[in-house]
Amino acid sequence: MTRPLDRSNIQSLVFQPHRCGYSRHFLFQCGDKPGAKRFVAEWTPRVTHGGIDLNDPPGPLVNIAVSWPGLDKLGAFDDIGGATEAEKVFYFDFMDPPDAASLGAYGESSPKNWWNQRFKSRDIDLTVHVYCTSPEMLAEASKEVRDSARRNGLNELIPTSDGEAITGQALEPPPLGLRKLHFGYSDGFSQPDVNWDDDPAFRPPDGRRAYPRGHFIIDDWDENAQSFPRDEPWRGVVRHGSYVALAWVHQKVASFNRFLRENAPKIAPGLPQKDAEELLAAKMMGRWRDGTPLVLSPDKQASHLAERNFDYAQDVAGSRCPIAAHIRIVNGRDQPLDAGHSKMFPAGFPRVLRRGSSYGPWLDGEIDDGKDRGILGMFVCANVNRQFYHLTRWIAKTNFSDAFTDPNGQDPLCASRSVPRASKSFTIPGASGDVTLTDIPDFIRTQGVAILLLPSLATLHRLSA
Amino acid sequence: MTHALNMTIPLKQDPESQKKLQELKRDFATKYQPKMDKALRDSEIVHFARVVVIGDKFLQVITEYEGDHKGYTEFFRKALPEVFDAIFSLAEGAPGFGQLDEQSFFKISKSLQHRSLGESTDGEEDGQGNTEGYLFSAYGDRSVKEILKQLKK
Repeated sequence: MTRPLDRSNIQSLVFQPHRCGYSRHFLFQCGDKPGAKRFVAEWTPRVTHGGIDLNDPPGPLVNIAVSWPGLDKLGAFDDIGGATEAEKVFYFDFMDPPDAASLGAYGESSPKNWWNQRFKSRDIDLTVHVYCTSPEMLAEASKEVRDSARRNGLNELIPTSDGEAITGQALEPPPLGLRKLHFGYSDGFSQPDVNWDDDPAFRPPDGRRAYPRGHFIIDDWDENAQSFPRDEPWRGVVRHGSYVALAWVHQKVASFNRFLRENAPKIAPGLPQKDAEELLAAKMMGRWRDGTPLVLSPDKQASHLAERNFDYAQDVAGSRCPIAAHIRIVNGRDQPLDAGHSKMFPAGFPRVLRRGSSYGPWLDGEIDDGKDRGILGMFVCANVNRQFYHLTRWIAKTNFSDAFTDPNGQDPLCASRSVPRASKSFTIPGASGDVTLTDIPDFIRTQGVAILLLPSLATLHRLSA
Repeated sequence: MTHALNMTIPLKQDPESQKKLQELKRDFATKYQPKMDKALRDSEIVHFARVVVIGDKFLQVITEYEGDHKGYTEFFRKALPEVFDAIFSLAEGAPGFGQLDEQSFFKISKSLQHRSLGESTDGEEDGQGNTEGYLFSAYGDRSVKEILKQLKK
C-alpha cells in the first residue's frame, strides 16, 4: 500500500543535491539554550524542504543540521527524560565523536589534525548550509546568518586558514559544471533510486534497484535499515530526519596529476601520453572523467552512457573496470559480498545519498600552490555505522568481498595510505597481463568530520519552542 | 587489525535457569557447535572462538576477530542467533536475544566486554579513546584472509 511522504516535512537536501553554483557551510557552537532556540526559530521558516520547487526557489536554499550535543543544548530531550535517558537509546555512531578507525582516518587524516586544530568535532552543535546562484546572493545570505548567530549568542567555528567558512563553488559554469570535482571527474551519477512513497509499483528506469525510504530517512522500523532510536518518545525527535556525515576532504590535485603523468605509460604504453592519463584516471575511478562507466565503454569516453545502469556480471575479472576502482568499492552492485558481510547486509550493499560541494580554486599542473581545495562531502543515511562507516571501512581496506585477492587492498583514490598494513598498490587487469602500480601516495587528506542529524521540519519547530 | 572479544556474562542462579545451563553444556557439541563452526569458518573474520562456563556462575564468549567492535559486533548478532539466543536466555539482567537490534546488542556486548590486562602493543583503542588490553598474536596483525591466502599457496 502506498504511503505518500509529506515532503514538506523533510529537508530538501535529502531528496536531491542542490545544483547551485555557490554554497557556504557554517559550523556553530551554541551559547545558551534560549539563544540557540531563537536562532532555530528564526531560520526554520527559511529551511528549504521537499515541498518547494527547486527550479524556482524563493531565494537561497537553506538546510540545518544538528549534532548530538546540539540536540541536548536545544532541549530536545528536556521533556522526555533528559540526555541521560536518551543516551540509552541513541546509537554510538551519532553520540560519539566520529570514529577514526571506522573512517580509516590515520596519519595526516587523523582527528588530532582536524579542523586545522582550531576546535574539535564535538564542539560543533549546529550547522547551516546555504546554497546560492550568485556570489552576491551568497554574501547577503551569509550576512543574515551571521547577524542572526551573533544576536542569539552562537559562536561560529571557522576551520579554514583563510578565515572564511567552508565555501563551495562550482568548478565550471552550471549546469554541467555543477558536477565537476577536483581531479577532473564529473560526479553525481548513480544516486540510489529511493521509493519515497512506499509505492509497490515503484520501478526505477533502466532496471535500477529501488531502495526503501527507511534506508535514508528515519521512518517506520525497517529491519534492514536499523535506524535509531527505535522507540518513542525518542523516535519522535528523529522521525523523518536523516543522519548526515559531513566530511571536509582536501584533494591533493598536484600529486594526483603527477601520479597520472608518471604512471600512465606503465598501463598503456601504446597510447599517447594524454590518452593514457585519461585511461589511468578512469581505471582508478571506474568511470571516465566525463562519467562514462568503464564497464560500458572500456576504451573511450561516451558521455551519453554516463547515466546508464550497469552491473559487473560481464566483468567479473575486472578487465574493464578494475576490482578496486572507487565506484566498485562504494557501490558493488551485483558483485557479491563475502560470507561474513553477507550476514551483516542481507539486503545487499549499503548505500548513502551523496550531497556535497567542491570548494577551492581549480588547479592545473603538478605544482601545488598551497591553497586548500577539495570537497565538502555530505553523506545522508539512516544508520551511520551500517551505511557510511562501512563504506569508509571498505575504502580503507577492501576486505568485504571475495572478488578482492589483496586483503589489504584499498581504494586507489580516497584511502589513507597510513591505514595499518595497507598495501598501497592498485592492480589493473589487462589483455597482456596485470599491471600493478605500487607505492601509491595519498591523494586526499581528511580535514574534519562531523556526524549530524538533518531534522524534519516538525523537529526543527519543536527545537524552536 | 585483530581484536579480542572477552564477553563475560553473569548467569541466572535460579534452579530453572541452572537446569537449562546444564542442558546447554550437555548439548553444546551437537546442537550449537556445528552451526558456530560453519558460520565462523565461512566468515573469514574470526580467528579463534570458544565458549567457557566458569563455576556455573559466569559464561564467557571469547574470540579473536578482524575489525573493530563497532564494525563487526553486528556480524555476531546476525551469524550466531541460535547460540546467542541460548546464552542470553541464561544471562542475568539481559533481555531475550530476539528483542535485540543492532543498537541494543552493541550496547549489551560493550557492557559485557572485559578488557584484557596490559596494553595493546599496536596502539589499538577501544572506541572510547582508551588503549585496548594486551593481545598476543604469533601472526602479528595479519588477517584471517591473509593467513588463509598464504596457507593455500
